[in-house]
Amino acid sequence: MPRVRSNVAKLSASDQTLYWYNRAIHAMLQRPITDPTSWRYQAAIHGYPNVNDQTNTQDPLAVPGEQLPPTSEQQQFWGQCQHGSWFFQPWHRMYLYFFEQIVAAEVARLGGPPDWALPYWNYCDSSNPDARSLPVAFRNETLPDGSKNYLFVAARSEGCNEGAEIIPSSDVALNQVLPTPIFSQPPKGTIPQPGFGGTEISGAEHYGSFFYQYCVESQPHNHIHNDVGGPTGWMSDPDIAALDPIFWLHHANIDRLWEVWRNVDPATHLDPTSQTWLNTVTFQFHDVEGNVVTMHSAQVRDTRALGYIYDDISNPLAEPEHDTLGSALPKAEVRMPDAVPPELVGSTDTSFEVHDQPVHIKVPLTNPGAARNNLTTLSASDSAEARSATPQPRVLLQLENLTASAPTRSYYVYVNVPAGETPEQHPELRAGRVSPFGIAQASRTSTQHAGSGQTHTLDISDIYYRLFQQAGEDPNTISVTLVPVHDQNGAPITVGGVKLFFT
Amino acid sequence: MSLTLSPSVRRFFWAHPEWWGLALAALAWVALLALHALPQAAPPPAALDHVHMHGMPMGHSQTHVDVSFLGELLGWSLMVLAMMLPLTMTALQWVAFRSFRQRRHRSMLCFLAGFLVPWMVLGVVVAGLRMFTQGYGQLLPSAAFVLAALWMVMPPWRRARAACHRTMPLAPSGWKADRSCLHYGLLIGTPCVASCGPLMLACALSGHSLVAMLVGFALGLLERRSFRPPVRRLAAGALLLALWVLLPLGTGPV
Repeated sequence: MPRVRSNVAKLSASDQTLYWYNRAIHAMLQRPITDPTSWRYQAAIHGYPNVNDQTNTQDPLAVPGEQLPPTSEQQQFWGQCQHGSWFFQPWHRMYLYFFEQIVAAEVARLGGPPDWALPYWNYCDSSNPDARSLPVAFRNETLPDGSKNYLFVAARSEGCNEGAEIIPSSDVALNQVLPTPIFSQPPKGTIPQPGFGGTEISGAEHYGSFFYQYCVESQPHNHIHNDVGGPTGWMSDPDIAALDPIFWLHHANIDRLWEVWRNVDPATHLDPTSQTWLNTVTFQFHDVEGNVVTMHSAQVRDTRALGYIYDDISNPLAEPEHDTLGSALPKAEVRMPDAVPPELVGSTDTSFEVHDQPVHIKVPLTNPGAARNNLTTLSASDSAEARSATPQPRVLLQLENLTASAPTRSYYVYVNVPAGETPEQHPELRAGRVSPFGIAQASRTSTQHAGSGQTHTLDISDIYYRLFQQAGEDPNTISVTLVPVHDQNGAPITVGGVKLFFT
Repeated sequence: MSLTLSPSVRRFFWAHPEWWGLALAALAWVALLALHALPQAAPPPAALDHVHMHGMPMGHSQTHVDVSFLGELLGWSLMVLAMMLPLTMTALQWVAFRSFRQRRHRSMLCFLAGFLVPWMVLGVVVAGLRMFTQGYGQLLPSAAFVLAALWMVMPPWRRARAACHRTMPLAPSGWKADRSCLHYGLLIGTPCVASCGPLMLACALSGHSLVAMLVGFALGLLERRSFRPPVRRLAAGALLLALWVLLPLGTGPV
């Protein structure tokens, strides 16, 4: 029988899943960090300060004078998480698979159930008003009997451990993520393209630089990391995020969403068939016995083959093409043929910093009407009939080369907020949200990173056409407003530039 | 009469504004091949130089050339264009698509100018080095390939090659745009010299051996495919070249 991963919010009062998780964590924390089955070694596989990266982060559980694994072992097994690419889902599935086996073995050794399975935190559940608050068992420093609660971590966002709603439901909505039948696409003219699983790349990359708004990694994954951790908590920093026990329930949900996505329409929502994704690129882990195991993505497509299933992989969207903000033009009609490359139509010419206050930026446009005509002509076939039916280009806003010295806050992005009014008065002008999880790692040159920071791409087609097409002409300028999501202090972000593309 | 391109051809040039970068690299390869195809008495790129036959160490005869500085610099330039330009296509695309359509090619030219500056600085050093090292036989290029292999397993090499994937924001128009493209070229070219320079130096010391250049180019492509390159395979490739150049046919004029 496969293990069943269950929704943590629906565990009964008598359920002991989290009790045994707590005890297993305690046991794993006792093991030295040189033991691949220890809590800290497992967390270091995702990231560890100053292995493959140089950041300001320190290991919060470091013991002075303790022995770490040899440098060669650290470089081979630590800091291996895959972000910003189509390896995000398969790598984390492998990671959770071995982690769950290690925890389950410890639970069994302690006298718990032999079929212990990692629960998941379904913050996307819009029917549960408490779904976006940290699960109760993780909030208190001590258990009812006064003993230490190992599910508790103090370094979380303000209000998180008090049970506050950490994120609005709109920020974890799946209505733009699940309907797309594309798992991954290569970038088009260096611009990331829509796809559930992230951007197609040719090899492993610890922390990619390019994020598209509507892939599962950007939303909800990155948002949850930043909102649980806040600007300075563990969950906001990839180098220490997996030390927080909630990390694993968060990623179990992300892993579940892969199954949900495939279940939206098994005929169209298909995994990549590229050999690069399936077999060529491999990753190494330690199994429950501490043996080195090499895996590739083809081995983790079927959770049953891995010995686990989820209790619920139903499609949560009543209407697959539902759009919360409304749409002047349906996305399917906006989209241009794949062969048409992007065209730059607007750009800032200097970088700027964002801190804890909203920032307004003007982006001058250069003849967008001509650019659209060019794209339309280029995309059309030679027949006049077909040309007249050619769709409008997609409008993409790119915040490029975001850099910061430390993990920091998320920002909402608004377009053309009227002068004298606040962004909050205009939810219809919100283009999306940028959560720069991993920005500090991406901002420094290391053996695994170029130091370019992160580039986030948002699809603002709906807003653009709603604002300007009905007026009958393109603008000369658009304004972009960045509004910090969190009030807490955090490192400032340098935005290299803001660009607008038609594609 | 105006030239009208078919929609598919127009789409290709639109989608691949960097096409002429690859074409330039292809031309450089053609030039290198042509120089190698010249009569044996004038092996490339020192076909421009004076050729003599000398008895060489290790008991076999070896073509030896009195190399000229300018001939070496020309050979180096062709080698850089042939081997390094194809590795910059992603960066070139970055420049093209982050420029307004009207100035895409100008931006790419500025980028390439910046990219080639550090390579040509190294080229001057290498050409000078060749003036002093001619006549040392195959041991020198072989040792250079061994050093290139060793360099590939060292952390600074990994850091340098990671930096080759860097991107930066580019100004959209005017002199600021030219400056930022030039700057970006330098930003990519400098770590590119740091990561691939030793291998390129070894190729140059091998007398621009065609086999060495082709294998070196293949290693470059293999290295550039991923952030986690197959370091052992790359180093093994360089070591094989170290052995190859010890063979009688392994080198050009040394």
